[in-house]
Amino acid sequence: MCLSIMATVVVPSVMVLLPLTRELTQDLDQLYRSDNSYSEMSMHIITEHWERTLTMEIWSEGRDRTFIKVLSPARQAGSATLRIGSEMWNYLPNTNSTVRIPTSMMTGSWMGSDITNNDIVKEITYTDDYTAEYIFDPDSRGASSDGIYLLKLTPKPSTAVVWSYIICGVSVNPVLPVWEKYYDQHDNLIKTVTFSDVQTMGGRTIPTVMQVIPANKPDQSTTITWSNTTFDQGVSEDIFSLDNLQSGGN
Amino acid sequence: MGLISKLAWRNIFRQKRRTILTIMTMTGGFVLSSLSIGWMDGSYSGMILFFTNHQTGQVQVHKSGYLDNPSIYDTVNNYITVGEQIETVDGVRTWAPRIYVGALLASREEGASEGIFSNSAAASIIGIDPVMEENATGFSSQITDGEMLTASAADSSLRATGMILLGKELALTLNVSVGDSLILFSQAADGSGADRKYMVRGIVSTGNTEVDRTTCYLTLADTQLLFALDNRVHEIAVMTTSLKEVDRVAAEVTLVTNSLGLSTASWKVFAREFYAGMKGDETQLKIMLGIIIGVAALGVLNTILMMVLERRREFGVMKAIGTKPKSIVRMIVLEANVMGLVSIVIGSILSTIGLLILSKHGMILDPPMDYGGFVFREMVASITPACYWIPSVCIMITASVVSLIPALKAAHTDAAKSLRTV
Repeated sequence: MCLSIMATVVVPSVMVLLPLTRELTQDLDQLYRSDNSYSEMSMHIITEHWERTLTMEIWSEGRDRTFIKVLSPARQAGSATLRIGSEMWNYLPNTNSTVRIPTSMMTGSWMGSDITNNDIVKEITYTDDYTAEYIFDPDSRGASSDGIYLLKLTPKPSTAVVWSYIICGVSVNPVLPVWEKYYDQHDNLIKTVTFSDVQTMGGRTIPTVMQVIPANKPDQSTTITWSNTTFDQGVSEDIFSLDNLQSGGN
Repeated sequence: MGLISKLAWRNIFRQKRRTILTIMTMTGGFVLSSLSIGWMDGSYSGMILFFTNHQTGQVQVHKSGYLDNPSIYDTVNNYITVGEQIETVDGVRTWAPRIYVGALLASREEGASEGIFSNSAAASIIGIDPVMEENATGFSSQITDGEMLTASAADSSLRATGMILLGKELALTLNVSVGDSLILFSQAADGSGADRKYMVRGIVSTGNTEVDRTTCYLTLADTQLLFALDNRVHEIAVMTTSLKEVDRVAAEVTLVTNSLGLSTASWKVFAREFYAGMKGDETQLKIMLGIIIGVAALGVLNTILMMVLERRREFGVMKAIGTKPKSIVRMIVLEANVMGLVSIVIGSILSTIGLLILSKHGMILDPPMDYGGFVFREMVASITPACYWIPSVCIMITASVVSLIPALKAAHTDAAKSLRTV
């Protein structure tokens, strides 16, 4: 009773200060997106059985095309991934061959990380594919004291994802994601994604470290660190072709 | 031979038609029960033998927990040492090591550029030792086209082109045949990429389309090299000398493997669905067997009851001249038992003929029966002691118990009343 009275009093006053959820999700969507981009990053994967770091270059154009080239470690150097729309291809330097990833493998791990092929292929936006609402959890340290607001993102019926909803911790000024927790239909946590080390890179202020921790394997993680990014500096059309992929992006 | 025995013996031949009818009823019950048992034993032991001998083995050894949650990392290490220890257990015929991993297979579409493999499918890979697997399961009998795997350069070099056997339906999905090339792409146990070019060496048909749609086979050494599983396997399949030995062998292999953090399971455990499906059917057959014996018993009861009613006057005379009720009961039960014995002899001959035919020719199952993915197309009977002793015991018990009721009725006949009414 007491809480509900508080909510009715507090919520409207907070709502006045907060940006509209649509504006917020649009800002989040645009954070790493651009007409075209080029990035250099490392991906550090820790599992119960092995640990390794991959360095890679990524080119993107619009929402549909991505080209990823692995630079190290030696055994995987030269591997490349090309995404055009919902199609995904991998170049395997050992066999000098390009293999199409079938739909049935889309939920599989990409390069052994906690990122799935689907995460790379699916160009989902919070604004178009989710319904967003603020949540005010009195138990959370969220709220406005540390500048983090909680946003609940529920996928629209047409959005094909394996989770039921996402709770995002978002800082508003500037709009940056702090963490995201993915839940299934039984409210069980699936994975946690954290964003940190905010820097200005490529003219934008972005978190340059993203870590994915699967809930059922807390000792496992995938950490992506951006070392260089440029936005809207132009990317050659030829990059996003099977011929370029088959040549290993050289 | 006492007077009562003599009387019983003569009575059998006195009313031949009645005797023949009773013997026929009992013989019919015997033959039906015997064939059902032979059928049940034959088909089930045949199935177990078929699928354990040709695919799974009767006993399997894995890392503890592997069966419930298979993982590439849960391996039997130093598998040769473990296998050699298992081989010393009495009743073990042989053993075969296996690796189970997943991968993507891709073939070239017709007219596609060189190096572009766009026709892809997810597949389960089974790494097998060609010689040991052949020795254990006669694997090559499942190859419908092409040849069995052999040792090759791919066993020791990641650069070499490997040999692969594809399930029939998987080959259709990938649109490849013997001699074609394809690419295998996966991830090794050390996290690195695992990819290699393969040439299709043969096509495998296990009889289970679900398995053949997703499964391919590589040599064990090749799989170990590609997936960084040096000296490790996921399964040791153990073949026993006899099905009856399975539980004992499993218990003794457990003694060997327990200290190594491995678990041992018999086919009843690792092929739970198959076992449960079979058990369910076995129960149904047992109920059917009970009904057959019940019907035969009712037939016997009916004929003996008729016989007693027809002979009421005779029993009245016997009582009138001083025969004790006990003797009348003995006589009737004895008659039924003699007829029972004759039925057993005739029934055994007929059943043997029937069982021999069913064990040779069997019955084609259409549609085939599917137990947890294992498909059986033919059922054959087997001739076991149970085909004879169970129906024999049932017939003798039925003859004694069923004849006792009318016998008691006859024994308590009021002599004067019986003589008057007939």
